[in-house]
Amino acid sequence: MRASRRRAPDISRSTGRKSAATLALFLMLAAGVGTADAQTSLRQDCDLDAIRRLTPTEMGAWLPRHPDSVYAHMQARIEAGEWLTVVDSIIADFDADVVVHDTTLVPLDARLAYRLQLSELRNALAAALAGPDAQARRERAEGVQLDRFAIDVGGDPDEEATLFLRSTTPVTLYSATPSTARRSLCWRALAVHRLLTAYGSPALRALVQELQLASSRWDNYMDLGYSQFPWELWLNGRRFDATSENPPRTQVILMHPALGIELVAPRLGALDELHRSNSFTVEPFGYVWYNEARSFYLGLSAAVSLTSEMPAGVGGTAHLGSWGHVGYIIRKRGSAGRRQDGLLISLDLYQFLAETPDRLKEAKAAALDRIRMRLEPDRTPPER
Amino acid sequence: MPKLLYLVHGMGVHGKGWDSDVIDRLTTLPATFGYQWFADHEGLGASVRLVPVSYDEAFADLLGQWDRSSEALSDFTQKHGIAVPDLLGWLHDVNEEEGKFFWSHLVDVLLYRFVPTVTARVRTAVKEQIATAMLEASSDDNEIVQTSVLAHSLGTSVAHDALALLATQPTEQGNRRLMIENHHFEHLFMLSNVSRVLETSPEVYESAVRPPGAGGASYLNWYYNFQHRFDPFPAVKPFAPVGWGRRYRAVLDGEERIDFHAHDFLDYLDDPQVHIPIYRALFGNDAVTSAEAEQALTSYAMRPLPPCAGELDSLRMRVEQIIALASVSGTPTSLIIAGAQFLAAAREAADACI
Repeated sequence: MRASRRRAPDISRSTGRKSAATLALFLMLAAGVGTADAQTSLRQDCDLDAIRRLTPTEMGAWLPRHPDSVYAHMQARIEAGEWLTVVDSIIADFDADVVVHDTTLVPLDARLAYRLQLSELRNALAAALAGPDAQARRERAEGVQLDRFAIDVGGDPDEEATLFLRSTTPVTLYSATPSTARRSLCWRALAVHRLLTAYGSPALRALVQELQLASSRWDNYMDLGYSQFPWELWLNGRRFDATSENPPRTQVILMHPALGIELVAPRLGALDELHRSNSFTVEPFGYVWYNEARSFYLGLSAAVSLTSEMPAGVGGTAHLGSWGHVGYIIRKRGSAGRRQDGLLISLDLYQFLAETPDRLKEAKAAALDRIRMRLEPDRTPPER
Repeated sequence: MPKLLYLVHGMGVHGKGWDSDVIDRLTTLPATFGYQWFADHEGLGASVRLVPVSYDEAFADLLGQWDRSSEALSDFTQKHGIAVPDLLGWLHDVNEEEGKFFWSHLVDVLLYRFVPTVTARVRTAVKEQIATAMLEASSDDNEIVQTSVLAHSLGTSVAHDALALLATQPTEQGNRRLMIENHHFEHLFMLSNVSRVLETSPEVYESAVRPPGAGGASYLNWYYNFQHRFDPFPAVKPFAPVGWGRRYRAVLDGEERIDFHAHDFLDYLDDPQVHIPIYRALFGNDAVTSAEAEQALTSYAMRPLPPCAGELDSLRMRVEQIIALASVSGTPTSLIIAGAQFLAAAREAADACI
């Protein structure tokens, strides 16, 4: 008590270096502070933004108990993971608080309800921390109610501040409640709430990571996935739960129109007679499987190919993500007995393949130029 | 203590910067109406962080894909003489005014309500933005973050669904951080509330998106529902719960006068019957005194309307007819049809007024 009384109270955010006992002593200022009255509104006593706008004069002897000061003194313990030590200090402080034990300020049932919440918090924390998977459970925000000490301030025309709003014993403070009582209950609750926010921060980070990953999968699914026409969306929607966080891993293909190129050789092995036909295909049915990131897929579908030069053919197609599709189309032989079966490839894959020989040639020429430059540095490289 | 107010837009294109008008309006209304508290406390931005939440990329991506596919298929088959029916020409075939509004606005409603992959993508996007903003606000100091939502039109359905999922469904990895036992939202402000007509599961009267006193689990502390009399969208199937207690506040603007923007987000905010409860809920009753409120209501009621009495009267009759017809069935389809008719009628009346 003496150390606390000699030190000038401040609200600067110093790093705590006190032992648990000294922390408790610091908090136990009730004897000196408790009965000091304040002339502030309910919101100024129970809303943290409003509390932060209070002047030192308005805070008076309550200055050391400002929620930010209390948090600052808890911070080292919080960073060290000494949750129970901090909660025990808060409970000890509550039990020694003359304000909460003055029934003219805080009714008995309100004190008991508050104390019960502190005990339940302590028990929940102890159970959560004792388990073998304590860290994992903390990262999932399991086992400890993180907004137990949240304060609801509102109401029109008269504002109220309610703690434990969803419990069976809420504690409601009114404009007529003495400011001393409001501060004693609300400022302590704000400190506890911030403690629990710190306890829940790994879970919030994990949540954000998970949801950001899910969002990127959705972006991939839309940008890189196999396109779906409205009827396909309808069908695939019937197979999908709209509450899902991630996109589907599979997709049904139904009457899907696509563009392609058919390469037809009239005789087997007659590559010099290879003929290219532009093809409009319809895939009556098929199935697609996505990777976990939804950035690539494999699929199989039946195909009907329509060209301007040949009769319709049927066959199958394999889908290879954004590379395109490749398949084979079978037709009846032509009037002269010529084969009309074709290798079907998607338009963009065809373009890629068609341009590859030229690209390879260019790369080879550039490499040869570089070699020549090294061997014959005075020679002017040929224009390409 | 960072206070976050998430802004959830409605239907239509909302590219980057869509929020600037809404943020600007919320920020400048206090000066417009002379609410002294804001001048004394460094303005609205010093007391709340406005967080825009966008989700219409889900619609734009899909429509763009169909549009490109349709065009590519059409061009290819024509160019190469392949005779196929024009499968998707109707995607382009929009000439009438109502059709234009359908494709610019109402198709979002259709896609969100009837295409589960779109629905899910939107919900994930909204949840992600909510969580990310909370993490940023909490920063390294473990600040307590208070969260509220202001949603408009389709955004009311999107917000309801996202909050309902956050409240009751752990993530696929089992994360419960924003579930009802660990978090709640302070206020939900719904402008032109269509969540009921577009509801799927959970239904809006059964979900956890309700305040204490409404019975059952509550994910909110306060629920505010604002509806303009001549806004047909929420009138198709009004959100009007019974027995939800004093933490549910409904404001039905029964003003007799109509202008051309009865559904507009900004027009809703301009109305003191809307923005005063929002400011008071967020910042306390002192944010707008009784005298200031009375003066604001009076000046707003006396604001000049466009000098087109005839067009406005015609529009009012037309809107009343639209509302009467649409509310008979109260289905999403009737919402879409009524919406297109209303937007077209309002546009035509406004054009005639110039």
